[in-house]
Amino acid sequence: MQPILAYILRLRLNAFARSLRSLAGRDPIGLVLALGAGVAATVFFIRNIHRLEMLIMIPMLHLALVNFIHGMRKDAQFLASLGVSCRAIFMWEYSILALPAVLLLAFSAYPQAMLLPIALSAIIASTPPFAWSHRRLMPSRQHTFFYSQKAIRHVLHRLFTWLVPPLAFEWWGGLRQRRLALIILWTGALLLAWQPFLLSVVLFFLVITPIEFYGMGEHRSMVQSLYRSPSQFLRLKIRQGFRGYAMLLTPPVMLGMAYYILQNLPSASANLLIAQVPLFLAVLVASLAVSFILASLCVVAKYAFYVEGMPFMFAVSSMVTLTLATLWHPYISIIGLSVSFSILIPKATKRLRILFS
Amino acid sequence: MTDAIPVCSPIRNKSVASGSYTIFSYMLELQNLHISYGTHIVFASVNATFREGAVHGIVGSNGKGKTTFLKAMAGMITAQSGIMLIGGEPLNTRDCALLEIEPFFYPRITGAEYLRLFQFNNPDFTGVEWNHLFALPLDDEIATYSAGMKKKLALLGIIGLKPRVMLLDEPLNSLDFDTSYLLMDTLRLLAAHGMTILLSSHIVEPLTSVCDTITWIAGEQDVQCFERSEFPTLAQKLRPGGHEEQIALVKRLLGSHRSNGGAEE
Repeated sequence: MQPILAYILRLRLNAFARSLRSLAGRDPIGLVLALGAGVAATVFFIRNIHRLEMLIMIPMLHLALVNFIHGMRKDAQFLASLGVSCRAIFMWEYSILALPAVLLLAFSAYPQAMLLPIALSAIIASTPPFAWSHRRLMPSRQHTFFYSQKAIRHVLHRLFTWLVPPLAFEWWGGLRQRRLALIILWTGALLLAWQPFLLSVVLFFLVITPIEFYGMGEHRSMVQSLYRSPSQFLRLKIRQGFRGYAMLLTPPVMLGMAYYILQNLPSASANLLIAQVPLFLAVLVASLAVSFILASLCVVAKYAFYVEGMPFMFAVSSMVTLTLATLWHPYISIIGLSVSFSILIPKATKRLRILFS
Repeated sequence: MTDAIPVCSPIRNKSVASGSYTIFSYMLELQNLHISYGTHIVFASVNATFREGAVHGIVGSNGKGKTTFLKAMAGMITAQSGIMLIGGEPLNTRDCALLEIEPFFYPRITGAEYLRLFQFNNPDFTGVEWNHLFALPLDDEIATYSAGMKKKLALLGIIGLKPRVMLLDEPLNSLDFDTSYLLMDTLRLLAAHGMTILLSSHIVEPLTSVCDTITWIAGEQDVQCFERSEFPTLAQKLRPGGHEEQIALVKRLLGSHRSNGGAEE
């Protein structure tokens, strides 16, 4: 390894240690609770590691984490100016991040799967970070088909304004930035709705993509100008996020449910179909409830860690990922959600109260 | 333009570019540079030449392409077409070092750790010695620095790279009065040691005291260069016109703001 590469890695590890020390000094209880939740989630993962779903879940969680970090990187140009290969740095850093996933998979029934996180790290590390040259990645939209068709553009805009309110700037910004990825994922979810396992994989990515929207920093005046009190602010933000998540998740979930019911019906009689309506409605309610929980988690995690104008992607994504990791088990998920909300809501309210005071 | 070879020449068409000047008289030469973002053209067939060991200013309004110009030279933006030469050879990005408007720093590292990074490229660079210039608290984390201190630290790093061409994007932003003068004098010394320096600014006045030439980016094809003797002409050209219409608009908006506020009350 080049000496400068080793030095940069050492710097990054030092920085991580400093962050931990500072967090321990500022919020020791929060740190202990977060570590406890992490250990609990890990223990339950290990106990169920023989299941195939877990083998997919762990690399995907690692992929989500690395993808978030990679998307926020701004050091590529700096490293280039130093004459350091940024891909080598990314590869080393993401491999270190992959260690927990590799260890978990090494003790599973399929230890070969431990190569997956490393391979995924290598793939992400070889792609240019999004923040590299944002301006270059944004060609003029004036000449694309949709933007040249005024009527289509008008209808699409009206539809989106109805689905996502204009004040939900996270969603508008995020939808513009991740337009292509979201269209592919959403269409993929609709097309794969007949395959429950593949649908769940695509839905997982649909769930984690908008978490990134909440990692952006915003100016204090943006928070203060629109709302009058912290509770009103949180309610409105959760409502906006709920509409966004419901828009993304509900159609593919309901389509998947419809396929499932049709595939499992012994005969195509009207009575049998009517008998499935309660199940269908229950899934609809569950999908909306998950949308609401996700939106609430993102919003309270964002404002619990809010620092004016600073991105806090890592805080939001780690809180949401930790909580999501508990969702595989009904009892654990209740405990996970309760612990997360009981920590995050008071923190977010306190931060916002300072902002509004 | 005078008969003598200018330090930097405005060349607006190919015949002048190829016919009048000798290539090897200049250190840095940009030929037919074309840069665009999507369909938005920033530079179309722009030519410019800069002499080595001199300080060159770049001025222009917001969005005219000052940063793009510097980033293209630093290799951070790929020009669609055009040639960049240094001493007649293709410009290598390693020859240039760019101080960005908002320099990048790894989070939670100290100033000393940051400067140490540049020693790997240039073992002769002693960050601590150079820091006597600005007296920064190098043992503190960079997050605790003010905007001006961060800029000074990044500048020390750039000096540490010892590039042939130093590109400074708005270096005077967020620097105090005293440091600005110190920086100007330092740049003159660096230029005297053979370094070519390009620095951009929105306003021309701070550049006139330090620069040998000032290039005005007036439009996508209109890049004009002014010698020291022509600075008064440039200042005249860049003198802001009357903003009567805008001022009238502000007055009208403030008036309606007040009447709305009164109505609410």
